[in-house]
Order: sequence, then C-alpha cells, then structure tokens
Amino acid sequence: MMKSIRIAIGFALLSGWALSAPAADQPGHVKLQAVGYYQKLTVGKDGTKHTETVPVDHVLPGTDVTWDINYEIIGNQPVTDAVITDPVPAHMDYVGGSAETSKADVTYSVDGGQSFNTPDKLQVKNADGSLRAATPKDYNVIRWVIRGTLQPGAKGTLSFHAVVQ
Amino acid sequence: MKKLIASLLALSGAWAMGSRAADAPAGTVVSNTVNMTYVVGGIPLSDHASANFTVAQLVNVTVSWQNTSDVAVSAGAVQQALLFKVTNTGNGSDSFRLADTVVTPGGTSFTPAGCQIYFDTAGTGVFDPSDVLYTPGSNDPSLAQNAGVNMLVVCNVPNNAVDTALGEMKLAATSQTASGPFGTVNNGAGVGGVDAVVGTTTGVSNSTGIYQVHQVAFAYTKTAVITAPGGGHQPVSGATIEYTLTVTPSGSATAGNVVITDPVPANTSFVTGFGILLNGSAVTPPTGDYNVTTPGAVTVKLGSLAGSAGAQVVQFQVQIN
Repeated sequence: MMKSIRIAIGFALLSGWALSAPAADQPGHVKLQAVGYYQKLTVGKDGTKHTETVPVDHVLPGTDVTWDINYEIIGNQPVTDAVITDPVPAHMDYVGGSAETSKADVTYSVDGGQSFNTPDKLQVKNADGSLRAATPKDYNVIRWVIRGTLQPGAKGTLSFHAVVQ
Repeated sequence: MKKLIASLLALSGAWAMGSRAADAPAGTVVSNTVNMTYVVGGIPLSDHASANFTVAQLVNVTVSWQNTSDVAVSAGAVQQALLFKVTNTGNGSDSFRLADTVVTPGGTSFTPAGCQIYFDTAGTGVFDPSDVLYTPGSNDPSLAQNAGVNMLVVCNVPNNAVDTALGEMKLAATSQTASGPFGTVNNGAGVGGVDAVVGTTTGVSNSTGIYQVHQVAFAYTKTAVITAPGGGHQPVSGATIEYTLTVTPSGSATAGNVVITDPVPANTSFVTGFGILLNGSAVTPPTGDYNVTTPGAVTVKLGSLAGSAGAQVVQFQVQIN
C-alpha cells in the first residue's frame, strides 16, 4: 500500500518536472533555454495574407523554424570553456549559414557528433563509397565554442534555422 | 525494445526513400535538445534544455487521368471506362469525396451518359464486373500519406454519337479533412488531433479524361455487265455476267475480319477460268474462293480494313445455264 502511494507521488513529481523542462534546468550557474518559432502565414477572410512570428506548436512540412538557444550566467562565478552543441532535430534540415555568429566558433558534424569541422572541410560518403563535399542537409550536429569568459549576469542567444521535412 | 525501435526506423527509412517526398508525417513530434558544457572554478559542468513541436497535417490531393490517349469508343457502347488515379499528396491519412461531371469540349462532341464511379478493383484499367461501385460518403477512399488509388469513371456512349466525336468527364476529389483556400486551418482535424492546414492544392483536385468515338462504316455497290455469245447484252443462255462489287470503308476506326460473301445466282455457273479478282489481281484460297468457305457463293476475306483504306473492288463472272 505504502509503496504504491510512493510510486504515484514519484510519477506526479516527474511529470511536473517534465512539463517545465523546456524552459531550463537550474544547476545554479547557467540558465539554458531552447525556443522555436516561425513566421506563420495567415490568410484573412478577404484573402489578404500576413505573417506573424509565433512559437512552434503545430508546424507544417516545409516550414522554416528558427531555434533560439538562450543562455544566461546566473551564478556569481565566471564561466569559461562554454561549448554548446545542438543536434539538428530529426525530420528537420539545417539551413546553411544560419548558425554562424561572431560570438562563437561554429563547426558542424556529419557523423552524429563524433567529429566537427568547418563547412569547407566536411565530407560525406556517396553510396559507392566515394567522398563528396557535405551540404547543409548533411549536418547533424552544430557546435558553438563561445569565445572568452562569460561573466556573472552575461546573457546571449545563439540561433539556427532548420526546415521541417 | 531497442531492436524493435531500430527495425521500425529502418522500415520508415525505406518507406521514405520509396515515397515521392520525405515529408515528415503529421503528428510527428520534433524535439530539439541543446547541450552546454562549461567550466566554473576549474570544475567541468554541463547543462541541457529542450523544446519540441508537433508536425501539423498538410492537406493535399492530386487527381490525374491515367489513359495515355483518348479512350476509343463506339456509338452505343456501354460501361466504357476512363482511368484516374487519386493520390494523397499530403503528409497524413485522409479520405476523399469524389464527384464526376460532364465536360463539354469544343468541336464535335457527345455527352457521356449514365456515368458511375468505380474502384478499379480488378486492376485492369477498364470496367470489370468485379469492380466495386463508389458511393459518395459511403466508401470514400481513405489513403495514407503518398498512397494512391485507381478509380474508373464508367459511362455509356449515346447511339447517335458520330465518328471522331469527343466526350469528356472530369473526376474531382475533395479532402474530408480540410479544404478551402491555401492556408485554411481546420483546428484539431488532422491525424491524432493535430491541426490540418490546406496546402497548395486547396484540398481539391480534378482531372479530365477524354473518350473519342472511332468507328467505320461501309458503302456497298454491285454492278453487272452481261455479254451474250453473239456480242449483245441480252441475258440469254450461254451469256456471261461480270459482277463488280465495290466496298468503300469510311471513318476513323479499323474494322477487323472483313469478309465479302456474294451468292452466285440460281441457274448460273461460276466461271472458273476468270476466277476472282480483288482490286484487279487474282486471289486464291484462303483469301478468295468459290463454293469453299460458303457453299454456292464467292467469298473474299479482306481482313483488317481501315476507314482510310479506300474502295475495295471484287470482280467475278458467271455464265447463264
């Protein structure tokens, strides 16, 4: 009896945590957040079209989604060697050049994160085993190596675009 | 469990390769997880965050007429089929309401009559008795992403349809999930309760199929010239009668197995020495014969004869007993 109650409480706590998970977690030094949004085209009853920026919720194939990665130093100690990696989500194609930023050195992986390189050096294998230059659609992980030290209170946003397949 | 997932992924990969486009299926949850590693006071730490969204349903449909050329029919023909393919070009399961309408083409035309829509159940592309009748709202085809179904519009050709006349039928399919102007949203109507959004096809597609009447008609004349033994033209005993049969086809079709049969009159005898001429040249069995194919008659087998073939002239002689 006691055991089953504990399990029930455990699930409740876990699901409550899962609901708030997309916002961030709180180890005490850095607040990290991922947010997706896109330009939604709406057609009025009179046929006029206009776009608005809306958070991702239900999104159609072909939609260009902007992923923002927000970070903030919330502790009172400086942070060094900050590296952010983001696997390009399944069912999405990375939009070439969209992750580039002056805040970080950006490299990409075409092997699931085992190795990273700049676009000009990335190669993938053809079906016949020969190598060809990788295209942005081949990138499956993006890595930002943030330059310098992040002081307490510092915040920034990295972003990239990917299109829903 | 892991193995099962792996094989499912392999299956879906193969499926995606075989399909027209690798559109993410409606209802797919796309998740983005970001990781951060960093150092604080010499201690390496890490952190992560994630966000996700659900792929909405894009509603699209394509109807295309499949016959590679106008379907040849003849006047009065029944249950003549036009073959169409209805394809779900959206990214989720959908069902489609079908409707057929007569289109009036320019020029010489006929109006297809008694039309009904059938599933091409037998898979022959033409009407078969085993094909299942389509009834709107009752058996609307339900199609998975990128799946298609062959449908037949089956009509009768009026008796008064003339050669080369065109008859046209349009088949339209309308998504039962969402339709309307591009971008119209039907909230929660998609698979698994996702929003359904009307794509570029507006949720409706149609295609027109064409019948053309092809038939052949024959004009037939027969003349006789009598030559009496003394040189006159009296039908006396011993006189020779030369018959000339002229068969003139017309029309855009080709008739098959055309046979001319002409009985030799009573009280006359077929003149073997003259034989049978077809367009001036002697013919022998099996093309032409007397008293073999048909007792007491001249038979000439013309075989396939196109409407454009021109007059076919058969000559033979008999002698009055």
